[in-house]
Amino acid sequence: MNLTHDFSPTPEVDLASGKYVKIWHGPQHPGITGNMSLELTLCGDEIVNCKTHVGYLHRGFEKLMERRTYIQNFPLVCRIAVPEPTFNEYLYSAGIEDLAGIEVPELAKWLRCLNLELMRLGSFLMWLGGASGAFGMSTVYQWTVTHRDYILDLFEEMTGARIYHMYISPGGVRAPLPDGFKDRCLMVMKKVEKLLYEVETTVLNNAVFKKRAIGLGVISSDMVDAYGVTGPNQRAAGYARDTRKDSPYLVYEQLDFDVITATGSDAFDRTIVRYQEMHQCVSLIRQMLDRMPTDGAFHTPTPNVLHWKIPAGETYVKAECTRGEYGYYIETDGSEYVRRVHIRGPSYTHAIAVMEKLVIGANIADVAGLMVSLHTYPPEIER
Amino acid sequence: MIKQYLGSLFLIELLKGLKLTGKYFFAKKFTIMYPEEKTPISNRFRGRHALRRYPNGEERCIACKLCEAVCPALAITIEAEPRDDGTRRTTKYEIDLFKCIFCGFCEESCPVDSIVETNIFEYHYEQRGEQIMDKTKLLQFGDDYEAQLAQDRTLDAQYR
Amino acid sequence: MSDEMVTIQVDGKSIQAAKGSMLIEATDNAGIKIPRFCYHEKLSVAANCRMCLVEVDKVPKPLPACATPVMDGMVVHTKSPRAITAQKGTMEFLLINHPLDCPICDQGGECELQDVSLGYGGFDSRYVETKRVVKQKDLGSLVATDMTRCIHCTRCVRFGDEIAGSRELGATSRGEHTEIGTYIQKHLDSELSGNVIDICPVGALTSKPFRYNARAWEMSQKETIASHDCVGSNLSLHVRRNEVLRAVPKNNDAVNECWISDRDRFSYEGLTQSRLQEPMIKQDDKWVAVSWDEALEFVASELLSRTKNDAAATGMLMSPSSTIEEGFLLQKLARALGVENVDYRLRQSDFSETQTPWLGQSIADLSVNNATLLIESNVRVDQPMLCHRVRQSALGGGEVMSLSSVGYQMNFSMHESCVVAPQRITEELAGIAKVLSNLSEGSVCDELVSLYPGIEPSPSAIKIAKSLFDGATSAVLLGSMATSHPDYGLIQSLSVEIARLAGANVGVISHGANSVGLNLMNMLPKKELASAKSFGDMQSEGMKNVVVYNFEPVYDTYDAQTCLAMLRSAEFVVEFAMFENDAQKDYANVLLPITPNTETSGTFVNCEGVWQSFTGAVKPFANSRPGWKVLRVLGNLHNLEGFDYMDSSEVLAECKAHASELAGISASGQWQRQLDSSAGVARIGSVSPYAVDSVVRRAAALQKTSLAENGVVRLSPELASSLGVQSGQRVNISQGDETIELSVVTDHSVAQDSAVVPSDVVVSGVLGSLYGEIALQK
Repeated sequence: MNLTHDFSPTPEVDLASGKYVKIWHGPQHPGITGNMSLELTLCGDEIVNCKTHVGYLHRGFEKLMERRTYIQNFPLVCRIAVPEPTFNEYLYSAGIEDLAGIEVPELAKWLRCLNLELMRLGSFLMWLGGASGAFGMSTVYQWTVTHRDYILDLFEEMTGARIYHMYISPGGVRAPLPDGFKDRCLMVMKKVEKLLYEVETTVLNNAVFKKRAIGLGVISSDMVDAYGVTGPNQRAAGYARDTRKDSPYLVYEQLDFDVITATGSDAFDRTIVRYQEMHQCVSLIRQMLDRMPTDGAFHTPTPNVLHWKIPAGETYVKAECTRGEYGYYIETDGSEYVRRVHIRGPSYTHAIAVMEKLVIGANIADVAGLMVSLHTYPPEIER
Repeated sequence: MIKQYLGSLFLIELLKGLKLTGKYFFAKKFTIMYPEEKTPISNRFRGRHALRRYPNGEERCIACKLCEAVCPALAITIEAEPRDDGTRRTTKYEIDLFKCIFCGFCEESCPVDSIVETNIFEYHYEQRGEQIMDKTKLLQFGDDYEAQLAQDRTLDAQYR
Repeated sequence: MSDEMVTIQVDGKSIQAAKGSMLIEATDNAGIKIPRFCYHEKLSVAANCRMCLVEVDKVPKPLPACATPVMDGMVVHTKSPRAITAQKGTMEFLLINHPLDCPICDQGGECELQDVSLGYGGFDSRYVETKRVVKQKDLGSLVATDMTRCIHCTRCVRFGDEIAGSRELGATSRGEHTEIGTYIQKHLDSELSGNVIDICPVGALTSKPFRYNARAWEMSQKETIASHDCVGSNLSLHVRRNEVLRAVPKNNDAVNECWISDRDRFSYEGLTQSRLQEPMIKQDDKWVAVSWDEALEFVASELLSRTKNDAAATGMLMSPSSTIEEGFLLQKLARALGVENVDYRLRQSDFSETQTPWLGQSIADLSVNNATLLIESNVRVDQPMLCHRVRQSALGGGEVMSLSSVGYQMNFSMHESCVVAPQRITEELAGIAKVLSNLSEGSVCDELVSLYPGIEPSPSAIKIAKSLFDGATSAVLLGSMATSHPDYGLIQSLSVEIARLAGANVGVISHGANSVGLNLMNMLPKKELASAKSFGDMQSEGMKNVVVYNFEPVYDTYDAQTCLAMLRSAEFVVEFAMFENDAQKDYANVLLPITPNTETSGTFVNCEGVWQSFTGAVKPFANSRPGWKVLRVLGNLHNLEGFDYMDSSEVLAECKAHASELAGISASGQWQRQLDSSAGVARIGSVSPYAVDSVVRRAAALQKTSLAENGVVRLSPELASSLGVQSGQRVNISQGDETIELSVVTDHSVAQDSAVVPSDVVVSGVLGSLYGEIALQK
């Protein structure tokens, strides 16, 4: 679908006319994972203007990292995006390895990749619950969160922690898979797959859901590059772009998968793309469990982590997370501390600029659904 | 297209969904009745800390302070001096569990397997200040859970 | 080493090196790192650790870089596979007998062996046999040992030989049985013994007071200047949680090189002992802790009203270890209040001399003098870093002579040591001057002739004079005991005369850390003002109001009895004090807690006239405050002009503007003799090296060393036998109306009819003047 987006600024409305009403949507809103708010101007129940406000979650990670040693940063970064911490761990480690010239052992690459895909699946499951909840189907939320918990159980076995794993450390990973992990993981995959078919029946084929989601929040294709839209949001607009394919990292080159696209570019198509990507996740995890080496080193020896000095340099590393391209820019100056870190989270564009545009003309009841369909995590907007 | 239209018209999709949810009404429940029921805990789980002892009752900790140095949250405070028998021992070993992020670096850095993380995650504090685990408390936890700690470590030993 | 340069190639890089220098010096200068253990730039080359093996083209075997002289066109590879293999092999051998107990080793985290083994060590040990164990050795209260960790680099042995000048440690047995130790069980007695802790590349020798206290990475490093002698050694204080945990030297080749004395290293222990915590006022004979506001307002109003009427009966006394900022502000405050009676010369009795008591040359120059005469100076323990320089001159062929009342043990051989009773020092000096006048064909001044007509120079005097005259560069140094001598002015006049005739430099080694700076700040009565009273005048005439700044009269004054009497009879005494003691509770009316130099910013001017500023390393203890801030607020409370400083650097800028250039010490014009030769048993009141100031006196580990020499009187054997006492027995010593009991040590080096009764930390009673008549009784 090739709709043309109007890039002109939204016209000002005369609030004094009595025709409009201004309301605040947020900052505490159940539809989003984290705090941000929308300042909505309504005419009846149609939104005529929107302004997004962030700043409720600023923790200053990028600055904090400049005053911590490389190893102290590693357990810090996972806290940047709460529901999906592993991507931060991976990207931070990858950046450090790139700058320090460390080669990661083969087994560690597979373990990292497995960890990331499990995380993707867990994150999608949580999102799926949120999406159905936002359109009024809260039963599904119970199912998906239960299944996400099965994945968290796997994480607990694998890494020792359920949410903040602190598993992918610079140089490799902190532990190999425990005994019998493969069987338990495959069992969980089976359960998840069954759930996905059930979700298809209850949500994706549901007339009410379709009625509300189709045509909601259309991202026109000329908006994609102009606004820096990435991930499933972009693929739903017909762009076959995926960092895992375009610039493969870890072991994605050895895995068999296709880039999933759709054409509708609305809330419904975005849901469909993510739904299919969840199936893809399950398939990737199965492939990895099948083909993964069973022994070998899982961590390269690093210098004394208490006095680890990394030569001056800069790097940008990126990975495809559930929401799009996640990137770390790291600059070092040869000291024990990082000179500058900048984190590119996809929610930054999706939740602020894109959201402001898409919400215009929508119904007040659809704001939550629209927001969820963009899949944004405010914690990674402001870090 | 017509099929879809008819499906919507006669609420087939809705009924299909209802059938599925109805099935769950009779299905076995997911719910675990915590705290009566509990899920199994991985032997790698990182919970509240403990200080272990050698089988002869001697505390393992030698005050090398590596855990204090590596702790990213600066939650550990150690003070040391020579004990009467001349050995290097801590006079103060404190972990502030409000600061702790349970990353497990302390356990990983310990050369004598003294500081460990148990699989205990059910605990609470009633007074401000109780979150600071001092040496006596930590050694007590170590004594209480020694069997479990030893077992978890044996299970995971091949991967360390 | 000649100035000629040769070009060598190291790792493909062409570098210049002085001909005859060792390869490792050239690579160090070029910033190329070669691992090493036994090599130390200030010590001789031993080449016994073999860690610095490098590959040199056309040489069949790897060569040790520390013992290979550079040659023109040499091609060296420090990182070639061959060099690395050799280094790794050495490392493996070194680690065979090393216990690898880093987690419990105090050196862990700052260990050269640990650092190098990270780069060159293997991951596993191939050595499965039993490791060697060496018994712990007790080296006294300062140095802790774990000799199993020793890798026999012999740095400590060479340090003792070459720097400390007393070979206390040595290697015994051979091969695997080699042990470093004292052979016979004994403690390290050297005043520089702490330096072996720094140079030991492993954890075999560590600091005992610091044992197991902290790790290197926990502490932050703060630079400061040592405050216990006039050298001003550069220190790095290691601080954790607002507490000074240890002191280590900071490299400064012009002052202390890379060494410091034990006193500077271990005195930090005293910083937190019995500190005064709150400002206190005595009300109805009871001490009440008050707020700073209350205390300062009380002091200001009292001083204002009292100085209005009695400025002439008000005196302000300051420790010679106070910073220049404090000295400047105190005299500024005093003079603004019309008080001219200010002084810092607490251990002096002759105040005729007001010239700046400085060295007259740089510290580094001391090591190149051809002839040095030390007058009444136990420089070895009083100013160990100056002694290090003098020793260097002696090792380089210079002649060092001493003229003193005790034949002090130096760590080098003396050309001549002339021991006379204190009252005969001036006589000997006159003799030297007379010989010099003959040698130089000049004439001595008339005053000298009239004071000592027809003097016969002793053989020693002739020898000393000859040496001073023959030396191309020579120096006459007045020790800190000479400044305490009742004839200080005369000694200085005579020294200047000798120096003039011999073409030598005159220098004074002063008490305290900042005598030079306080003198420059005019913290002493102006000579042109006849009414201005010196410390001595204040004591003899009595004062109504006294400000005691940062000293303990019982220990820090020339005549504790008289000083205490003056303070007790005064109506109003304000004491700025770091520490609590019993005496101050008796005489003072107000106590203001101030900080030692580790807790404030300030500046010391050392004996060569270098201004060395420092900043506080930790926050002021309890409720104490930096002295300069207290003085500044007092100035404000008096509504005086020019006390609105925002920080100490503003005070310093004013001090600098105020200070005059240091000039050579000239004749003072003092030709009066004070000390009579007819006295009975003369006291030689040296100051025990670990009793020089209030901080050192509270340092526990230092007080346990043999140098602290507490509670001991040294007598010449003749005097002891005439009294009928032997070493180890106790005698009663009376001075004034006080009697104390000390144990006797007979010592051949003490002049006849004299007794060394040092001012030390265990004083059971308060004695009188350092040079005075005493009565001894069995």
